[in-house]
Amino acid sequence: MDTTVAPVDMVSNPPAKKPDHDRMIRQEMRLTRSWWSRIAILAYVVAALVIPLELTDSLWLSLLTSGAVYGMGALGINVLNGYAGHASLGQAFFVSAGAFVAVQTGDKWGWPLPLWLLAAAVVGGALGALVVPLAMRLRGIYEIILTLGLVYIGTYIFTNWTSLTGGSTGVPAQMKLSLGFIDFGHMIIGGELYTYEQGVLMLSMLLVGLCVLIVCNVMRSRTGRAIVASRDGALAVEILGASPTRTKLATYVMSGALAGLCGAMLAAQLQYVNEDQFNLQLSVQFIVMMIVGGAATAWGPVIGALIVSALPLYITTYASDIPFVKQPTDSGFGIMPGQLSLVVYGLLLAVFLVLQPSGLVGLAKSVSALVGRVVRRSRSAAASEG
Amino acid sequence: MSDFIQLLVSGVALGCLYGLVALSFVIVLRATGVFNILQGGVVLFAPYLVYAFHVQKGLPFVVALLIAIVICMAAALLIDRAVFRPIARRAGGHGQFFAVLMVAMGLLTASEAVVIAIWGSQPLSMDDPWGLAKVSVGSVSLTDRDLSVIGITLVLLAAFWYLLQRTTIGVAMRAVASDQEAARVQGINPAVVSGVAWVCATVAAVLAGVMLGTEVGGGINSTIDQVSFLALPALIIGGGGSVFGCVAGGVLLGILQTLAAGYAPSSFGAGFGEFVPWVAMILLLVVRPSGLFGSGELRRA
Repeated sequence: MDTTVAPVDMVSNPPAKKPDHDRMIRQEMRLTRSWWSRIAILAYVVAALVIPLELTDSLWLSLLTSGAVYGMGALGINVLNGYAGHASLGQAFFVSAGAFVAVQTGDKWGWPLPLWLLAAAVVGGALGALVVPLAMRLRGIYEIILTLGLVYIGTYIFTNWTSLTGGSTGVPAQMKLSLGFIDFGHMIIGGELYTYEQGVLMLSMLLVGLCVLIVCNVMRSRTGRAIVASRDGALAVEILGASPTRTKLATYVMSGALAGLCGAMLAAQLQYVNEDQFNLQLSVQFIVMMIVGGAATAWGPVIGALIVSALPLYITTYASDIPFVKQPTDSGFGIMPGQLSLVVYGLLLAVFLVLQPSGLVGLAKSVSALVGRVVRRSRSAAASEG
Repeated sequence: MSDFIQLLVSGVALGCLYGLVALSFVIVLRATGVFNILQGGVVLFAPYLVYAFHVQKGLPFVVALLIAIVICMAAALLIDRAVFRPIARRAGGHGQFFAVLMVAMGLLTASEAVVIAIWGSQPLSMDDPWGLAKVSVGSVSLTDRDLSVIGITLVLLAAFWYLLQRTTIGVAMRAVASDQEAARVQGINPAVVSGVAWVCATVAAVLAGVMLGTEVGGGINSTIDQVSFLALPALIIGGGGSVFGCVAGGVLLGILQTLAAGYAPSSFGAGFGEFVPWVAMILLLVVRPSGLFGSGELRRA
């Protein structure tokens, strides 16, 4: 019996041409996908270098720096909640850990800039990894309770670990901001000396840009796609072979590392760290930033951070012009300026979640889509008339 | 030994308060499927309302308490219909519980500011409605307040138990909790069930808030609602599912916290009492992920 199969003649009978999937995947995973994104990155770097040098107003410097610094933490919560769909109130815990690690390594041990930044990110990420085995066992509201517990546990540990944190008096943070060829804390460019605030702004703008780029690219990678997909259909992703433990681990580690970076830069900005900055309120603030800017978008959290971190400052500056606001010394009905920002956070959350769940970035997208439609329609109307 | 018993009793009393708050969360969670922390706002407003009617207007304590319950109930139902239903409808899917929770937390922080705006930031004192006299049993002396807290909680639990186990609406509530769609097919109106659940939850939260407001030394202050966060581990310890599991979890929390605060050496530092329940929660998660009385409910919600 002849069972041999005749070899297929590949030359005269080629298989049907398939789309080149490998090439498409490589295209999708590239660091930058088009010339436009390369130009945008370049433009951002130029802006990050020029704006701090041109800006001298200390109010604006502190606003932009806060936006960039808190933006890193908001990016972290965006990975966890926006992309991965896990809810967390624990961001303040990771931020405080990053801040104290930065003080310990950068100030007390005198490590150079890249090392203490890295240390803060690594410790933040490691703490995030520690939470994963517990978080794997909980969903939804119960996961939130767990992460809320982190804030309370962190408060106890950091209040009582006085050699690290200075307890209730806090600890000064004088880290070295020198990168060898440039010292952000004492910038001299072209013979001109720039202030510490300008240097910190430049550094934090560069860092937050880098973070956005990294988050964007990780989310386009295999792991990133598994993270986003398990938000929308955990079981389906598991069936397709992505380990739920691994995706959750990647999410928490990334989120924790970003929060750690945020804490380190916060310490550098304020040059002082106190345990009571890192409370539940801060965790909620990060979530407000993400929601206002736009969850699961690249720049949304940073834009949200810019707006939300500026709020208390505006409110205290213009307190006398806002109705129902009283000075602490006044009597009678009225809300104190410090309390008003809390009310505004609450209202922002409510308004955005009900009316604009996709945040400002989503709003901008739908506005530009609307404008595009109107323009196209008027063009086609003009064409049909002419 | 008598020290231990005193600590134990005040721990149970504190735990009863945690249990009541956790209970008010769980009742709403089970009936509507959505977790709502705005019950903490009820805990906050209730003692201030009782203060306003009892101390400022001079009404009898019980009348003031009833008025506070009615006002809080109306406000809770109104906010639920006007704010949380639309959010839950619009958000849908995995974002639903998160959206509701975040809006509730936002309103909770806002209500702290409102309370301070109306009543000021100084702690207020309610005329001692339960009495602070001591009851002595042998060498153990207990405060009347602790005993009345425990007593009131037990009465309330018995009432809830009767409602859930022996009445038609209770059966309907349990049916909705176990399978909303099947319950609907049987002709149970989910709106009625969630309304009753809100009423029960509000009663529990008002009583918890008023009893917290009479705490020795604490008085009525704008941070009473923090208890709504401190009571949350009770949900995990109790297993999340059952109404009575979470009260038991709350009592356990209270005992742990009081004993830890009472026996910890001063070298353990400040806030050790509040720290222990969270650690206990995490240890329990490692050893028994479904909680003490749970049945895998934690992974579902």
